Amino acid sequence: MICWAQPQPQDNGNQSIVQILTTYQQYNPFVPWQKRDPGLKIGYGVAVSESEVLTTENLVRNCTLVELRKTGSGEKIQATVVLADEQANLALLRIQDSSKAPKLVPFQMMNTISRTGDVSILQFDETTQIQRGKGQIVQVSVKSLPTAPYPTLAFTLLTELNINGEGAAAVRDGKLAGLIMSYDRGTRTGNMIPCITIAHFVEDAHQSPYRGFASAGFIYTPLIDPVKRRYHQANDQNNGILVLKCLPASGAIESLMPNDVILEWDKYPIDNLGFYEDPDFGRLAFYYLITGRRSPGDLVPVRIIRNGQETNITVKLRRRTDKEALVPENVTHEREEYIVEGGFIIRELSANYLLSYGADWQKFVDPRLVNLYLTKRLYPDKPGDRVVILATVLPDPINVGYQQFRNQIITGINDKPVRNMSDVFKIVKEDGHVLRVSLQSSDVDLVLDQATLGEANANLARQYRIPRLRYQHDSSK
Amino acid sequence: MNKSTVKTVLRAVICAGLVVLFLISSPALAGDMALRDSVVKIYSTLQRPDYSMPWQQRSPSSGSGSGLIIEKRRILTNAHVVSDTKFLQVQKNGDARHYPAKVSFIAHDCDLAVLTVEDDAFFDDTKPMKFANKLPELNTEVTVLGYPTGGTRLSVTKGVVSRIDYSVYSHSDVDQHLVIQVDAAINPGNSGGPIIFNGKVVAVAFQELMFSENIGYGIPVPVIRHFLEDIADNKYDGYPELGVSWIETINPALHRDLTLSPRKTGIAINYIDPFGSAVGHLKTRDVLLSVDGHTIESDGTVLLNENNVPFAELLERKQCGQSVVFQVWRNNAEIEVKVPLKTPDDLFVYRNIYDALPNYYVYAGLVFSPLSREYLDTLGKPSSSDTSIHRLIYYSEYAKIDGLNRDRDEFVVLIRQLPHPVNTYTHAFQNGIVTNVNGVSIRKLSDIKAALEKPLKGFHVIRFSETDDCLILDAGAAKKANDEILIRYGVPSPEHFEAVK
Repeated sequence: MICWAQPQPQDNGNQSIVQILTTYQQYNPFVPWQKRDPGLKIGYGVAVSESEVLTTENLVRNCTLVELRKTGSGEKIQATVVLADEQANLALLRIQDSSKAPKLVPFQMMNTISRTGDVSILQFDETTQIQRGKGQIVQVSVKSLPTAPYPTLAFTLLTELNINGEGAAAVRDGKLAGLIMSYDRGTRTGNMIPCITIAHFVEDAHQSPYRGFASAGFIYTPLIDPVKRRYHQANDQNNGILVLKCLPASGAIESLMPNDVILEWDKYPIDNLGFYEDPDFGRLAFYYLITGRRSPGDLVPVRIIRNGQETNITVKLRRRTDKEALVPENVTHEREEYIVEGGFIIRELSANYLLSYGADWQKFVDPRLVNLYLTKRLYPDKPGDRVVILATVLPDPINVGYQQFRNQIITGINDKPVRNMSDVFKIVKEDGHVLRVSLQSSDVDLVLDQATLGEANANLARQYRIPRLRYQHDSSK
Repeated sequence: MNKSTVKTVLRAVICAGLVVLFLISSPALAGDMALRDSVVKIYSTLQRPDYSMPWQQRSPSSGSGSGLIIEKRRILTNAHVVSDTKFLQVQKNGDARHYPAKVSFIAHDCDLAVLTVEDDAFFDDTKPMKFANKLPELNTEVTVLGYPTGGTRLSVTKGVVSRIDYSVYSHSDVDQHLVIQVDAAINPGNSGGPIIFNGKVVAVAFQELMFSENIGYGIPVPVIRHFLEDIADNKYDGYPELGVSWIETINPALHRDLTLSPRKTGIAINYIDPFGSAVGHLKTRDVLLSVDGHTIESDGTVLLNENNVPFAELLERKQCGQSVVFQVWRNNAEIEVKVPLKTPDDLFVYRNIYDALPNYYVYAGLVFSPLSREYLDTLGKPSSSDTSIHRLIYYSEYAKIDGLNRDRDEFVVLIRQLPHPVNTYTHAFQNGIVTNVNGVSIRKLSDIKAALEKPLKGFHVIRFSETDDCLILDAGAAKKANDEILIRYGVPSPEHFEAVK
C-alpha cells in the first residue's frame, strides 16, 4: 500500500521537481582508510510525498551532503538518503527538517506506460525555472544500468532537450512516467527508468524489511544451434534457452540443473535467444519476467526439458545481493574492510579495488586475479567465501624482505585457513595480531616479529598517517 | 635462469631493411681496428610462421647484422640475426662478394649462433678473433665494431663499460644471463658484432634499451664460452635450469622461523618447478646456505671477484650433466645436496619460438594449436571482456605454479574458426583451452585428432577449461565438410605435428 499525500496531476511540476546537489566522497581502495577528493554531482528528483523525493541511486552514491533546491529559489534544503538500491538505480530521500522546509507536492505516478508515444522531460534552466522538452519513446529493452552491472527495463527516448542531469522527470498527461538515468549528447538519446519500476521500488521502500528486486540465480546461453538443440533433445520446438550453471545459495540451485532447457518461464514461452513477448512492452529479455513482473519470495512455474522429457518445476525467486559473490562488485564504493598489520594491507578482492587501477586495470593487475575475477567472481565454493589478498606492503623495518609482495592471495593467517575478512578479524581477535601470512603457491610463510609488532604498528600509523589500522563493518556499527 | 616477467623494454638490434643513400668515408682505423677484417656483415632473408593461420608463413623480409670470425673457420653472431632464416649470406670487409652461409648451431636461450660458409675461400686472409679471459672492469673503454644502419661500410664506436649485470635477453624474452652494458652507440645492424678491449673480444653486441640513449648491451665472454663449450660435442643442449623460486631471509622473524642460527645466511625455497633440476633433490622450506662453496647471502647474492652477484650466476657457468652442490638447512640440520643439472623439457615456459613451424590440427573448420607466446602476440591487447584471452595469459604465466598443467603436456587452444555452416555457432568458444573431446581428456594436440575419430552418438562434444558450455558438432556433417573447408580456405594440410625442440 502506498500512502502519499494527495498526489495530483501536474502540468508545470514547479512544486514537485527539485534540483539535487550531492557532495560525494569515495574511499580510496589502495589506502582504504583515506577518502578521495570530494566531488559535486547535480541532478534532479521528484517529490513522492510532502517530504520525500525520489531520484537515481547513482546521483546520491557516496554522498556526504545532499541538498535540494526548488524552482526559482536559491535556498538549499538538506535531505538524507532513506533507501538506495543500486540494482534498480533508485533512491528515496527525505527532507531532514520537514517542519521548516516548504512542502513539496507529490507527483501522481502512472500505473504503467505504453511503449510508444511522447513524454515531457522536466529539468531546471539556468534561472532555476522549469524547462520542458519533448522525448519520443523509441525503444523499450532490458539493458545494463549505466553505472552498475544489473539489467533493468529501460525506455530509450529521443529528445531535442539537452538533458543536464540525471533524475530529470519524464511526464505524460501530468503524471510521472519515469526518471531519466542517462543521456548521450552525441545521439541525443536518453534512458528512462519507467514508472512501473519506480512504483515497485517505492512500494517496497515503505515496507520493512525492504524486499527489493528478484533474481533467479542461474547462467544460461541461447540455444539456436540446431545441432546443439538435437544434442540436448530440444529439437521438436524452436524455443528455449540452456541452463549452464546455478549460483550457490540461489533459488535456481534448488530446482534447476545444468543442461535443462527452459521452454516457458512464468507461463511465457521463451524463445531460443532468451526473449519473450511481454503484453505491455513487446519483445523483451526474459530477465524482466524475474526482476519486473515478480518479487523476491515468489514461486515461479517453469516448463523445462530435462533429459529429453518435458516437465514442470517451480523456481523460488530471491533477492541476490552483491555480498554473495566471491568477488563483489561494490559499485556503490561502500567502505571496504581492511587490516594493516606490520605494514601488510590485508583486504578482500573486489571489482571496486581492481577498477581503481584505471580503465586498463587488467594490464596492471596480476593475471591470476584478472582471471579469477573474470571467470569465478559469482561462484564462491561455499557461501561466504571471498578472496583475501595481501594488497601491498607499507615499507617498515618490520617487513624488510617482504616489500615486493603485492596482490597475493592469502590462504591462511597464523596457521589458520581464511576464507574472508571475517575469518581474519576472528583470528586477530583470538591471537591479538597477524603474525604469519600464508600465500597461495608459496610454501614459505611471511612471518612478523611478535615482540616488535605493536611498536611497528604504532610507527606505521604515525608515519603513514593511518587513523585506524583495522576497519570492520560490524565493529564500526 | 628464466624469468616470466620482463621489466625493461629491450630491442634486439638486427637491421631490418637496407637504407643506403650515401657512401660515408671510413674513419682512420687504428689499434682495435686492425681486427676489422674479422668482422663480417650478415644478410638474412627471414620468414616467420603466421601463428593465427599456422599452415602458412608471413611475407619474407630481409635484414642485416654483424658477425665475427672465430677459430675453426666459423662466424659467431646473434641468434636473432639468423633466426627463421631462409637464405643467409655473409660479406667481409674489402670483398664485394656475398657468400652463402648456413647456421651450424643456434642457441635461442642465450641469443648466439655459429655460422659456416660453404666457400672456404671466404676465410682467406682473415684471422679468427680471440676472446678475453675475463670480463673488463667497469669504466674500461671498449670499441664496438659492426655494420649498423647509416652506411654500408664497417662502423666503429667507442664507449665505456658502464655496468655488468644480470638481465633478460629479449630474443627469448624469458631467459636471463649476464650482460655487459656499454654507453657506445649500438644501433640496428650492430647485432652480432664484437665489443673489443685490448684487441680481444669481451662481448658481442646484441640489444639496446628502448626509449633511452646510448644504453647498449653485449653478451659477455662467459656466456659466449658457455655456448662454444656446449656445442663442442656437436649439439647444443642449452642452459640447465635449477627450477626453484625463493624468498630472501633478511627478515629477522623469518630467519628465526626457519630455525637458522643468527650467523647463517641463505635463501628459502618457496616453490619447486616440477620440470627443473631441483625436483627430488631440494625441498620447499629448504634454506640454501651456499652454492659450490660460495656463501649465499640473505638476499640471494654471492661474493664473486669482490662483487655481489646473484647466486644464479654460478649456475650460469655449468653445462647440462654437471652438478651443483648446495649446503642446505633442512629440518634443523645442515646437509649437503648435490643437484645434477638438466635442461627442462616441458612446454609450459612461454619463450619466443624460432625456427619451428607451429603445430596445428584443423577439423570441421576448427583450428586447434598449442598455446604459444607467438599466438598470444597475435591477439594484441585484450579488452576487459576478452575473458578467454585473459585466461590464456593467466595459464601462460601460472601453468606450473598453480598446477594448471596437471594432466596436460601442453595447452591446446581453439585458435580460430574457418566459417562454414557446420561450425556456425561455435564462435563463442574461440581461444578456449580444450580439456576434453568426446569424453577423452586432452593432454596434447594429437589427442584431439584421436578423440575426434570416436564421436558420441553422432555428436562431437568438446569441452573447455573453466567454461560451462560445450561445443557440439554433428559428427557426420563435420566429417563431410572437412575437405571442402580445407579447399575453400586454402589450407594445404589439415595438420602439422612436430616434436618441439
